Amino acid sequence: MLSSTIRLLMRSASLMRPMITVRPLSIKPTLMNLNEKRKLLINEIPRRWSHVHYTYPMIESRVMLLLRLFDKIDPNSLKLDSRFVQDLGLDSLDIVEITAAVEDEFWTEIPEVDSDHFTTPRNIIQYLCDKYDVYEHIEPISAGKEYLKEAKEAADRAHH
Amino acid sequence: MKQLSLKHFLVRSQAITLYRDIMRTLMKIDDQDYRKEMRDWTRYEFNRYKNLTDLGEIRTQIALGRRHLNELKLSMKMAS
Repeated sequence: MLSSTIRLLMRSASLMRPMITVRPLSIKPTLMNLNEKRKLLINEIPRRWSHVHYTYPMIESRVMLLLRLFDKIDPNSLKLDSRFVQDLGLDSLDIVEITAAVEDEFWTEIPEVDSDHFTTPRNIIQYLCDKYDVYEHIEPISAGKEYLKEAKEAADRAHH
Repeated sequence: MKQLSLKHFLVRSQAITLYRDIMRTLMKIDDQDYRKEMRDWTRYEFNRYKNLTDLGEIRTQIALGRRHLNELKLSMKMAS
């Protein structure tokens, strides 16, 4: 009786195992293959790692990659402060598409009130940073470095 | 960019909302080629009526677009 229960438990455990396997981060679906992935098994659904916090460089690189892959943007002229309409020659419908791509990439919904103000890549990054409570590096990095230097000097003075 | 009247501005945001809704619906299509085809078609239709100025005509086209979207949603529901 006991052994059969154990065997049953073992079997269910072995059934459970594929569900628990952790997929490596490298096959995290990007916006290109997201819909392909959606059809697959439950353990193939992209994980949202709640313990991995968004950082500014991460958000920036993902947004810029997304914009570089967008077919109407010339990747060479794309800069953090280039305006979509004036500099890159996009129209309002393109901005809607960019917003949809951002939504797909970050698995959120962006209300229209907010997406109306997306005029430069920096705006989008800033918005996402606000959304995910990312505060570091929003100011130019040098400002923080100066502050660190000052703090270090103050600490040195305190010690000697 | 020339100044829009208030009514034109409202109608413009309606059109953008419609485009957004359509894009959201198209995102649910799994087949990449078919999705791209639908996207291009939507884009083409929007571009075709880009230069309309008469409010009545614009509203008619937006309503037509809504109807197409509803049809699309219905057929997608039937397919799945």
